[in-house]
Amino acid sequence: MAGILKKISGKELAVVTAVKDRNVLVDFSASWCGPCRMLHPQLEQLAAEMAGWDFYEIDVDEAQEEAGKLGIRSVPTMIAYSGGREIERLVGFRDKASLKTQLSGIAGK
Amino acid sequence: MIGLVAGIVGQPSGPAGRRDVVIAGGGPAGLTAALYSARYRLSTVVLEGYQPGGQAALTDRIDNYPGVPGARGHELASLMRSQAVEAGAEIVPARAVRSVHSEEGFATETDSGTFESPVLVIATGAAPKKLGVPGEERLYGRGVSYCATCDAPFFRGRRVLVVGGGDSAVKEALHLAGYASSVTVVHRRDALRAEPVLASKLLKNPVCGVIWNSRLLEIRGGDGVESVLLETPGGPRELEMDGVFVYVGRRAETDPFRGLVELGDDGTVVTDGTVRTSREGVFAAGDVTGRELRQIITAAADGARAAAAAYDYLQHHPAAV
Ligand SMILES: Cc1cc2nc3c(=O)[nH]c(=O)nc-3n(C[C@H](O)[C@H](O)[C@H](O)COP(=O)(O)OP(=O)(O)OC[C@H]3O[C@@H](n4cnc5c(N)ncnc54)[C@H](O)[C@@H]3O)c2cc1C
Repeated sequence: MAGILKKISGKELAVVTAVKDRNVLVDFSASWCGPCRMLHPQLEQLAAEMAGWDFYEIDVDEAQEEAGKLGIRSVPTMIAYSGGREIERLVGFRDKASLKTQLSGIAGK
Repeated sequence: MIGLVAGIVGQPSGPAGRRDVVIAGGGPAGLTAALYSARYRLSTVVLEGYQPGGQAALTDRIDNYPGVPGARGHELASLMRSQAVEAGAEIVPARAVRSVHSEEGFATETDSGTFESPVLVIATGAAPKKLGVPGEERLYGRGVSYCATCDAPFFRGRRVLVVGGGDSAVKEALHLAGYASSVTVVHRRDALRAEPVLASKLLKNPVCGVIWNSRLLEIRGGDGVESVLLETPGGPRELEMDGVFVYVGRRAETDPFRGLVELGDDGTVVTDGTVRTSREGVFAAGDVTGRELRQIITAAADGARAAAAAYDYLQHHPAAV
């Protein structure tokens, strides 16, 4: 099923990342961040293409507590989860093709 | 406001193909070249890479672009962008991977197809240099940053270190002073290289301090930056710190053009003093060249010259079109 990039709140983070048997990518972004705005459409396209992954987006200004706990100090930061566990952290903009390669590479971890 | 956001979201990855002029780079140099080139009625495409607006979009305030006092970097950049589009230039979010000389001019391979043209303008600018110290890479995004405008809000009420002593280091230290509880600049000389207006602002700012004649040796921390180790005239010194911002110069983004045009030892495109490169039909503009002054106004001026030179070249080589 083709997925979408869904915007969630900080409180929903624990729930959406805990899903078993699926990989989850959460993009921590901010409205004032240029590279985040560029990243958004890349993730939208990936969400439609990568069936094994769920894609979410969180605005760090609305989730300061969670972002703080995770030690996020730069946007965009993307965290990949598997079974509720952080398996990879990607900081900064990446284009769709390189993201896809990277995500496919870590999916097996 | 129209501009960067609308452009990025609304545009499909650009239609590859043939144009009169291909401009690699969407900073002030590339966008100005595009404005002029489109007004010369040349079919023009800008490959803007991953940073629309270039470095200009990554700085908050610009006080030295004439006619626009106190300009905001991203606003100025998006105005340049929309002006080029209104003039008729196409802007695509493609990144040049390699440009080669072909029978019909130049073929520029990108992550979104190949663009061909009798004239190529290289305006890919520069990217921040890394320090190469332990901890820098591991803690990138966890306190280590190369963009104060992007990441300053994470350091509200925290302590940050700025490495460097040039215009960018000092300007961004002043920007950080609006958020951080303390801003410490570490500089390897005994005087700032930054222009005097900026330097004196920094020295007067109660939040900012400078550690002279010193180098950053290591960035320490577990999940985030916790401290930095400095080499100072009085011996090694460890300081507790929450963030480290690195402004130690920039490296020209010229890898795709290696072999096509002559590059200097520092990787910049060698020019004849204006915009002509070692290869006919290829022009270079802005920070990608080894000019002494690397500013928005000089990049824009180069862009205008590159477009004029491209127009002139096409007039004299009609067979190329
Ligand atoms: C923190 C900071 C503060 C600054 N403050 C000022 C200031 O106050 N006043 C001032 O005048 N100047 C300032 N500058 C300098 C100014 O931003 C630069 O001189 C200017 O942006 C150079 O323009 P450019 O077009 O040559 O290159 P850049 O701005 O570097 O733009 C390069 C463009 O090329 C693109 N690109 C890169 N690689 C590729 C590729 N392979 N394929 C396609 N595209 C590619 C990028 O995405 C980008 O769009 C500042 C710079 C920094 C870093």
